[in-house]
Amino acid sequence: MRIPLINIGNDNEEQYGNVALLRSYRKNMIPDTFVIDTGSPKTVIPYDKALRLQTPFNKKFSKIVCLGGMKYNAYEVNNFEFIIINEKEEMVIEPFPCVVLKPTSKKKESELGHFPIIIGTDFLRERKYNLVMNFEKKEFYLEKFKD
Amino acid sequence: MEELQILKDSSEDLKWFILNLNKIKEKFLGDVVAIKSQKVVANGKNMNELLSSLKYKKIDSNNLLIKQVSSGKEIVIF
Repeated sequence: MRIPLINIGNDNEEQYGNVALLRSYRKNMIPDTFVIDTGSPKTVIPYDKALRLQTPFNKKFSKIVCLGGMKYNAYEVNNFEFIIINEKEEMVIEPFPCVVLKPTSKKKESELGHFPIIIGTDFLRERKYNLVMNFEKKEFYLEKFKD
Repeated sequence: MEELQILKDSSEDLKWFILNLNKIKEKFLGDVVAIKSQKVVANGKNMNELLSSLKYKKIDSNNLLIKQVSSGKEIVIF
């Protein structure tokens, strides 16, 4: 089973991902883009998406994370579900715990831009996906593997 | 099924955004935009502004695709 990836980068910058529906434990849902980032050990949900999903994350504060020159408080949140489409246009539901990044100050919160969901190596490993990026054949996808 | 339809619609909106990025930049350079049915339905300088604009226009923010329109002068690395 394959999940197609497309180039979602601006201005010919290559960033491979696609669209996912992110569903919280309250069953609120939002569509958003995700990127595959093998440089990230964690799967990351930006703060604005957690707000829109009404995710409670005032507990479980873990540590400070630096990303793109900004500091964030990282909160571990369980019970997220990623809903994605495979190559046959069928839905695939993948429950996965994520890290929510919240800016460390109200001022930074108000200036928050927008960045996509970051699918890290924890997701690929634990949900059993191989990442295939064949630039020669222009084939980019995630492929489910079995143990 | 509702979820599948939202995913398919959002996928079409993403493809539209990528294909029309140059035109979108002419109007919304540097903004965060909300896209629905292959149209920009609201914009703001940041997420707070965008969410306020959606609320003002009484548009449900949960079925929209939201994207940052970068200027092209910077390289975006997450």
